[in-house]
Amino acid sequence: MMKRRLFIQQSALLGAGVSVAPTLFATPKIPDQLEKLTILHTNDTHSNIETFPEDHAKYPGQGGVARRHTVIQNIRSSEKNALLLDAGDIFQGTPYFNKFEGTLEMKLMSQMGYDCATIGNHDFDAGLEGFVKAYQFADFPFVCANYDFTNTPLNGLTSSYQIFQKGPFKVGVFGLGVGLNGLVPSVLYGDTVHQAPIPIANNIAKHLRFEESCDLVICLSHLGYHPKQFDDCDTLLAAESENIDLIIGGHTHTFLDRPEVHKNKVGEQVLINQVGWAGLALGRIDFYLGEKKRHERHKLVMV
Amino acid sequence: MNKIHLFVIGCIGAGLWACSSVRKVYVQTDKVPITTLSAPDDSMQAFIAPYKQQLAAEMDRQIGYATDNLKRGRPEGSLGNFVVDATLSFLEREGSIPEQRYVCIMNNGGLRSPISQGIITVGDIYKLMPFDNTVVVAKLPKNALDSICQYLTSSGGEPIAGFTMNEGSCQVNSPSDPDTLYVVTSDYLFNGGDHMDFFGMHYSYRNTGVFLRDILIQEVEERDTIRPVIDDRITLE
Repeated sequence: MMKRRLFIQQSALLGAGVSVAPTLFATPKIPDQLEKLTILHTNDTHSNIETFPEDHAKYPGQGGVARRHTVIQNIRSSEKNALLLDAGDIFQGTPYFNKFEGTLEMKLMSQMGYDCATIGNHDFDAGLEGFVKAYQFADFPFVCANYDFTNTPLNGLTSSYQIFQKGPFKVGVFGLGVGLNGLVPSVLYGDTVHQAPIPIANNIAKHLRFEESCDLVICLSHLGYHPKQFDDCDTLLAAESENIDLIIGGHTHTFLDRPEVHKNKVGEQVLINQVGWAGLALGRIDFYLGEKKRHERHKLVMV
Repeated sequence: MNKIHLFVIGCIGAGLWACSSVRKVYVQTDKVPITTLSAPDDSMQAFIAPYKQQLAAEMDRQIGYATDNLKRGRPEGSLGNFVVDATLSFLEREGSIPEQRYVCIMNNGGLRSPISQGIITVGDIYKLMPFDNTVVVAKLPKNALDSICQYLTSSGGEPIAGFTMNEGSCQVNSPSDPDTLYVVTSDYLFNGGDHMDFFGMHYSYRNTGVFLRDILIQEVEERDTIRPVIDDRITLE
């Protein structure tokens, strides 16, 4: 029995070896000289400011921004190249949002040192004017590549992408939003135009990787993870795009234990991650990037 | 033996990859749970404190008065009747639905706390309706009423408005359309919650995006005095 199982495992490994890549076999070792880039991320925090009470049925003693802040500070004290990102749905879910209309969430995210976020469907819940009002208290940019805000109060307040220089690394971050029709009352999103995300993602990712020479391209996606429930989702985005290294997802409150490795349109690997909701956990992905090459393809080696 | 094979294939593979200008990116991952093991940051805690206090004050805000206890009940209860009646009258007043055309059905299970006689606070409504359920307006075929009726019979009764169930047979209060049943409910029930499968028959629907809880708060503020209503809108066989 044992022997048989071993045989199957080895055959599977051999099969994978021929078709995929050499580095899957042994536990790969990170070369010493490589510099590290640390990506920290949340999604669907939904106005959860406080730690869930100790008698909470599902998440006793979990979450809470003041605790998250401690965790982030600890990581930042040892990692000099860290980026803190959020994939949307910052608003709605506790009376803090109803009472303070999103201003507190923005203030706290700024204090925690968020570098960038995208807009989720619930971030329209205070209306566009409400978002603008709350956004005055934020000191980080929002990226939304497939919402056209031209004829709205948000015109000029967001951008398709942002580029961050972290140590030796140039990191391109862009955002994708979910379709609003039927999901958000039209009175709240006004003249926002939602555009098909995947073609836009491909254009921007190509631009970021080749014209801007970004070392890493990250998509903050509020499309949702599930393949079925929504037309465009993270797994579909992964399969039909190229030049994206990491998709940080949201919307579906999906708890992934670790990032999933997917194949993109040209067979490169792309990571998808999502950390549930309510700030119950902070996602952390450390990238060790090898020497930069011209018109390179990326080969992710999971350690 | 196998190990050597693997190694050789590995080397060939690595060689091919190197030719096509590949940059290796090593990835290490971690999910950091936020728990009581991480002490809350003091300065952030202090920053939040006044907001927390204000919120507590908001929860204590007095919005109306109940002349008697509003309680859950079957086949009908004063708490459920209040919720469905308030929902329809709010939507009618707001102009979201034409008057008298819609029926409403909610669920007993969703009413999480009674309202006690006396002052009603915002916090009372949050306790009654802690969920972020929004209100959905749907068009169903007329015969959906039969399915609703069967559902009410087997469940023993749920909060309803705009129609009555008299000894097990249902009748809309104001017939408005021979083919269509206009129904107001929560997004939870509309999307299959509590197995109200008849919503699957819908022709069309619209999620108003308005929280049921906010409707109840505004309705209490509007009416000021809430009197429990039991009017035999449901009688079972």
